[in-house]
Amino acid sequence: MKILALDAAGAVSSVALTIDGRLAARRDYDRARGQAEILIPLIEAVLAEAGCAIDAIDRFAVGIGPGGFTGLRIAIATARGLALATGRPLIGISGFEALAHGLDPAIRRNRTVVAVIDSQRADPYLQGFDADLVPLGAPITATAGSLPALLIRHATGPAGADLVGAILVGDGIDRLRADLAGIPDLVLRPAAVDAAVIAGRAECRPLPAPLPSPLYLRPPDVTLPAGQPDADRSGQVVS
Amino acid sequence: MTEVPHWAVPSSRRARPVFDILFLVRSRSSDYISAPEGSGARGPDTGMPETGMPETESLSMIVLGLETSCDETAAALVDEQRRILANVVLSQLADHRPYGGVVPEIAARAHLAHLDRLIREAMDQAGVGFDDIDGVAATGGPGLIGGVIVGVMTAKAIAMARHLPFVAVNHLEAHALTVRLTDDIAFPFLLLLASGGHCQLLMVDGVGQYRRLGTTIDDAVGEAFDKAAKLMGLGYPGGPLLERAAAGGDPTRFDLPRPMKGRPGCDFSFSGLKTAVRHRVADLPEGALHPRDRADLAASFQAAVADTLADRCHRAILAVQAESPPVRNLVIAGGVAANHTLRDRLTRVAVEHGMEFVAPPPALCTDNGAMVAWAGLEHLRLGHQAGFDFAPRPRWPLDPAAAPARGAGVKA
Repeated sequence: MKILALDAAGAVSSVALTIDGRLAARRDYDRARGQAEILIPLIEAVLAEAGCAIDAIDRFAVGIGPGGFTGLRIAIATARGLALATGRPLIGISGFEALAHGLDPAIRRNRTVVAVIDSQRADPYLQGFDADLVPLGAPITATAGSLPALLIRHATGPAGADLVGAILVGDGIDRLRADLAGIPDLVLRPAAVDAAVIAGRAECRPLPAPLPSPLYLRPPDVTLPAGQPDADRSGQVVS
Repeated sequence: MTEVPHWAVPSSRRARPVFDILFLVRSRSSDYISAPEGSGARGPDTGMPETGMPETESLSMIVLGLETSCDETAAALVDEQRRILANVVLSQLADHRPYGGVVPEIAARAHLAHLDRLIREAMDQAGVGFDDIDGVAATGGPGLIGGVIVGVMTAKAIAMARHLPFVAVNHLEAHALTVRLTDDIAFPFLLLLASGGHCQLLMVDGVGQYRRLGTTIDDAVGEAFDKAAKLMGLGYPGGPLLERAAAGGDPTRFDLPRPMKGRPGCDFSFSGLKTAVRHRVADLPEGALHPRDRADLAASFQAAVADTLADRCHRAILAVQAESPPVRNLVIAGGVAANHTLRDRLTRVAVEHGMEFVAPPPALCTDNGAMVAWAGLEHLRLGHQAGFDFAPRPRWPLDPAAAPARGAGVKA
């Protein structure tokens, strides 16, 4: 099976093509701007290197974040356009899942996995997984100072996993270092979401898959005019 | 145009060269409605529509156009014989109304959520597959960048996957060229581009060839409508609501300024008019406006805008009337062109100067995909296309040589 995967949610964008589970070609782009210009040329380069025509792709896959809204929309609009134009299935994979599954199994063995993604705000997003990478709950927003308690509650939920000896992975770890100081035997793996992992996850998804939408995890920043309910958010309105 | 271009098909093979909106679908809510029964629309599972695909399909270029630069998500298919094969518009009005304006992030989210479904819908309605399409056009700017990105990336992806040319269309040019789709207007023509984001007078010398004669130095005219409507308690969007409120009102009752009238040049200004409306409202009894007062104030406001636009167009006509080739048409485009009072007033100006006044049908004045598809088609048949590395442009003046108007920012 040929899978073309793309991700532009984080500071590093990537495009990867796998053939029967083996990485055939990949390209990375490590700037937070310019994805709209570079993404299609990167896809063309990956296809060319793999010697694969776009019509030969069996499935498309895309990272649905969370992450930068602009990058997310660039990748997902592109992926949805590719799926529409080729009639091939498209599968969305969350950044948490991609980070957790991107870890070397030998390093994460018997450990709870917590994927941590920079929200570009003070508080990162995270999701816990047990040692078999089954999610421990829905993604949440970490709040400064509350992290150890939050992590323990989150990670010791229904599966009874233990944060002690957990492994944290993702680009949001730096923001948490102070909160993590007292937790013993913690493994930290700063890492970016990798399109090759997204392709691997998409290969085992059943079809039909739901149409991917961004995992925004944050409502739009906007203020309702005075006199309207829910006027506690800040933002700008153009008329 | 005098020469027969290389893409022309023999006239015997041409389908009816008429402007024929086969499918104009428009919705006022977050859910779009399919074309009404009897309109010729069909689902993907039935036969070809009787009035649908031209018999000359293999000879006639068909372009897919996407529009996502503000608060309409739109997809359309237009062919070289100036026929709109499908035109699907999803208005996000209901999503933005509580905020009294377009919220960029809400708009961007909605464009991404709906665009691919609307493309599928447009293609089904037109009875067209990707193999029948000769190019993909999308608004590449100017506009709200989060939305522009969605349309541009979707179009690039389709074009790449189907080995088709991609055209990044200037949204303002799409408005400008609409009369060539609807009325086959020849270059050159004088254009008043009047919308919520722009107010400019331009000489349109050819595809991609614009000379700006004047621009607003502060608010856009559609913006003035929105702000005046808000002051009158009419809600959002102000243009159509104010026009409706003005029906039956006395346009002479309130004395409002005619900004820039009689001044040299072709620039516009609307902020003083907005302030004058605020003062008139303050002079009226407190609380909600009496319906009579509101109708009279709305009508007086419209009359003031009409007089101002008429004066500026008059100046522009004087400035270009000696040019060769002669300028025969005064064209209005953009959302404000849907206003009937303004259309009537500008018709009189054109007639006074022996010119023809041309405005697209109101449904093609507001944002839509057909105008983008048409502008893309005009560029494609001149051999123009964009690279897949095209960067969406929040600002994209039609006449890059024109001096920026400081108070107007990107509107100029």
